Amino acid sequence: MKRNPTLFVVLLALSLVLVAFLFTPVVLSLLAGVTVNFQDGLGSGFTGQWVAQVLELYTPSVGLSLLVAFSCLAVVLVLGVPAAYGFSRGKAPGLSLLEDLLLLPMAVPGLASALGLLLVYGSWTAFRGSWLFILVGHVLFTLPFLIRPVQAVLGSVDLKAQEETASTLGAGPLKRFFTVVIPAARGGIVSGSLMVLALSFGEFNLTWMLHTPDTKTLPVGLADSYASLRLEVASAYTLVFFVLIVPLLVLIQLFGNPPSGKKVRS
Amino acid sequence: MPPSHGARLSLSVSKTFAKKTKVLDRVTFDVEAGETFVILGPSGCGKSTLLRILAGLESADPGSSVQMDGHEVVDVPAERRNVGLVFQRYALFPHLDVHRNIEYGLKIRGVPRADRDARVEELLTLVDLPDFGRRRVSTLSGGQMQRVALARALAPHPRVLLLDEPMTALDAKLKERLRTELHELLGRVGITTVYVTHDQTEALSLADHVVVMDHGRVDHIGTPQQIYEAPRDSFTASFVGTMNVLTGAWLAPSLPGFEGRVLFRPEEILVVPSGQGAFDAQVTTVFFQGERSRLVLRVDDEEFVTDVATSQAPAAGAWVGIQWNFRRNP
Repeated sequence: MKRNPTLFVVLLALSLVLVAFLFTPVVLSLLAGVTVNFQDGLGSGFTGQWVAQVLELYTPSVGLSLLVAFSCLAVVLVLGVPAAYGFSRGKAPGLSLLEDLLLLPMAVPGLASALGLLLVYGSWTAFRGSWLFILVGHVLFTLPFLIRPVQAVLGSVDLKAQEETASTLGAGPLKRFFTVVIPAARGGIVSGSLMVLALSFGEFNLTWMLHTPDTKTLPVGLADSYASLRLEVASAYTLVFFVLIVPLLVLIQLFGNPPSGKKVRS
Repeated sequence: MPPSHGARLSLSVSKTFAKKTKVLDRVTFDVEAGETFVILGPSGCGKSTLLRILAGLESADPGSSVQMDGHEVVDVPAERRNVGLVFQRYALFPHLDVHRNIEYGLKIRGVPRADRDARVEELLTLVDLPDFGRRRVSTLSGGQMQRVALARALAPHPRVLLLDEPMTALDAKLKERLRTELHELLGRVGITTVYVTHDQTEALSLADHVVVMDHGRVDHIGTPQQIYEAPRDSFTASFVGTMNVLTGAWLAPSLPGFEGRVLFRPEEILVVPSGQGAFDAQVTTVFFQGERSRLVLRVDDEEFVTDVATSQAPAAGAWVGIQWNFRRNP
């Protein structure tokens, strides 16, 4: 195809303007977190004091967010992989209805899901006050993001033949699940898991409704700091959040290609 | 015959799917220990379902029976039935290399490492794939995959080997070579083998015995020779080989006992010069097939075929005489 030089330059310029429009706030926000006084501009000099302050104030939040995210992943894996397998193989009536129900938290606003949880379990004080309450919300919200990609991989016809071959080779249902099904679903499990971690780590909507002063996750702390502390601290907070979440997003890009049957087939 | 390592099979199976579809209707036959038994039939005749029931992957209707060496196994699940199975598309485990694929059944059974390795080596030699152990299965050709699938199925010393259309996924030329190889291999192993196919060439060349199935029923059972010589008006005769049909009343004088139609194989007539046979026919098409050529002939708007040596083949459009050459009663 012949390239039109004028058109190319125009399109390139347009793209650059768009990128600048999107990234300037991000970059400024990050810069604000290391500037002595953002009102006076970058000329006021750089400092690590705001980041230090954030770490001092919010280390428990970082810890809690990591705890919730990894616990959430563990629970979602234990529930989600067998569920995805069940959905891809099962023929029971009502199964697709159940599937749709599980996807519901994706579409319903997090606030609504949280409200539901509060209405039903809110009076159970010990539970309501613990981080497990937030965990339940996160599991509800992230479960479909694991089930979907895993189910896509498990639907392949080849896998069914592999399982049947395994059974003639002496493998019972559990052994088949662990030696044939799980390895086949590996691509879907990895991409789904990274997605679950990132979603749980950044979840604000639901968490904001469910949290107590003792169970503040990182995004809730961020809102907190924007609302009540100086701009530089909130920006430093964003910086910390970025440092934690970006590696995860990079991993998703690397391993999280939409899983296809091809990847795991010969 | 090599010493037999296989079980004697004896079955009598019916299968009704939901909505009352009868896919197998009291299919009954015996398979001798160590023989290669082919289930032949068109697609939809129930042969694959039958194989799945043999493997324990599908349940049969109540009252059905599958016996191995006299033991009833119809309710034994696949994982405890000790049969080897090779699917049409081989279903190798893509996340394991060749060695681990073959080793799978041994590992599941808890066979110690050293014994497993020795057995895998033995099988790699048997299927003529030495040094392939560490290859990824995705790098194998179709024929190599087939041999790995065979080795995997044979590794745990199954009592019966089940093959479901194992040649279908291969191209024609490879098919022919692998058929010969498979025949030799099965002979060397000496295992009872049940082989499902819709391809009559495969069936006739591999089998000790063949069962021809049609619409969930057994049409004929016998040696390949007996199958080929099944009564002319049976499903088997029309499905196996080519069967010509002519119905013209003018045939009566040349055929004692003619009752409205005659069925004959291509080799049961001879092409002679025009006027010297029982009747004359016109050659409409000549298909060159190497040493032999197939003639399509027409008489009174009915067509039939025969084969002649290419060097003697008439040209399309020519009139030739047809002489009957029955070796048994028409």
